[in-house]
Amino acid sequence: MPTPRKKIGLIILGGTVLSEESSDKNAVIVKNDIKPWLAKMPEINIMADIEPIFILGEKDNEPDLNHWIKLGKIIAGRLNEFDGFVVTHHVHSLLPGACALSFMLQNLSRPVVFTGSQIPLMLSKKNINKKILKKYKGLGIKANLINALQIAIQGPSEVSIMFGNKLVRANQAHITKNLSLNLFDAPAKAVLATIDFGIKISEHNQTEKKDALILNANFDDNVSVVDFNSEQNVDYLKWVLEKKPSGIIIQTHNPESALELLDKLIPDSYDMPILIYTDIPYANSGNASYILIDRMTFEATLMKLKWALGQTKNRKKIAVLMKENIASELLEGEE
Amino acid sequence: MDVKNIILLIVAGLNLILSLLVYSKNTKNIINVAYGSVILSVGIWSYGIAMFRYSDNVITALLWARTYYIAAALIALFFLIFSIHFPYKSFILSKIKSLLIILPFIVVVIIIFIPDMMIGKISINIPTNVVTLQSSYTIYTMYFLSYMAISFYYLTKKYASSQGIHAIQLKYTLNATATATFFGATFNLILPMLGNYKLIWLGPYFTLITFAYVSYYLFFNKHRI
Repeated sequence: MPTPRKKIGLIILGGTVLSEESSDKNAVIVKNDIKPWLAKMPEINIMADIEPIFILGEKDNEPDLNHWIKLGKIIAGRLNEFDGFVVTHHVHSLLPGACALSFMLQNLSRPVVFTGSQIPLMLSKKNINKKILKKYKGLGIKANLINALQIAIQGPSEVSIMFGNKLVRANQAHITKNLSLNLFDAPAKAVLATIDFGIKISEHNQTEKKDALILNANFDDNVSVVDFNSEQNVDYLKWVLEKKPSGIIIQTHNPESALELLDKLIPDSYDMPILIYTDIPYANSGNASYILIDRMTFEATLMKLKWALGQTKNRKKIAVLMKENIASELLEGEE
Repeated sequence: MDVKNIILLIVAGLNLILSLLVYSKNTKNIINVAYGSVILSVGIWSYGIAMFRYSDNVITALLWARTYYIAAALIALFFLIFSIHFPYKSFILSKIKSLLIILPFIVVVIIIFIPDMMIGKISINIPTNVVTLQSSYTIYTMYFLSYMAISFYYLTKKYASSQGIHAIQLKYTLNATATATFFGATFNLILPMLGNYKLIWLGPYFTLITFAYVSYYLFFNKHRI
């Protein structure tokens, strides 16, 4: 008996530019562009039945939390109609978007693969020399989309990112180097598949989740980020505190000195969650007032805090949620 | 055993190791299985030629001649399957299409096994044993060349429209296989058809180019992408 063709939902939120030449004519700007755009890649129709779903075009603003919530609701609502989903996304906001989705959709039973193009829409219109144009060669969406579709047909049931020859877990991914084929990388255990000749899905990522999908699309977007990495900008922190956001993330390479400063600046009565984010593993904050995050990517931390604030405003409960491994986002050794 | 045969055995061994590596990278993927089978067939082909040249009687020489002709036919078959699927499907391979691909291979195997149909008289003169090829060798030649030509057509067609990682993959594959195919076909297919059987040891040597390219691609290049 012939194997039935797989059905894939192709959700568009930008990131659709095909090539560096005539980039504006090789992308989805409005919904009506989808058909001619797909016609330029006849290969993908051989792989599966593709149903495009349009959310954002190439000229629209960068996707934000509202678009990601809409995306999550579409996937949750139409989960049983498709064997997998591919999301094309503007590349600059792809990582937080994919992280948001990983917290929103728990017990996912279908692959959701993010991919995109690194070529800006108006590249060919700009007066740039051939040398720069050459840097964008091969960075269009076509190869990424074909690979993402192959992953969506057979890949791991979670939110992932496909660029170059690597499929990585979205909430453990980081950007490597702009304008490189493998734009995203992740720790070894979060590399879900690699491509040498064919696509190889890592053995430990092949188990299917069986519980029912949980859609939890409550987020609180009112989170401020204060960067202490280069200098401790106290005035800026004070200004942020006055604005009373729902949560604050302080990025620092030196958690100890940041904690000392916060102890001086912030009164005990202050009850909003304050996260100290450091990329250097740090044993103990020694201070229960702040939540130390040292084994999560920054994008995952930011989106997880927004998601956690959507579940509760209680600082202690948020601290528990931030330490909990909700969607396999904690880097190795944290569980 | 002469130096040429020893090199043939080394080539066979290297291809055997490489085929196992390609298989082990992903035994479930048809691309890896097909390409691993191409390399394994190359190894058997090389080994078969060495053993044929080393045979001191007609019976064992005939056995090894059949072995390397079947191995070469398998190279063309697996390479065609590989080219249809790599790096993505050129078309859906239905049961009828699969049958149409396998059928000529079966015909060629039958021709190889029917006495005096393709492989005629074998002259023993170690290490320059010679097969007198019969007229049906033309069918074998056509089978091999057309399968390889179709395979390269699929690969170059995909390469022309590819970008990113696919362009890199296809470039490596085309570079790795085109030279080896050209020289392999020249020394082991065309020249024997024209009556020169003395250079059959040379064809497998060019598969070292494939070996070098594929090894580099698998173990070094991926870190540079």
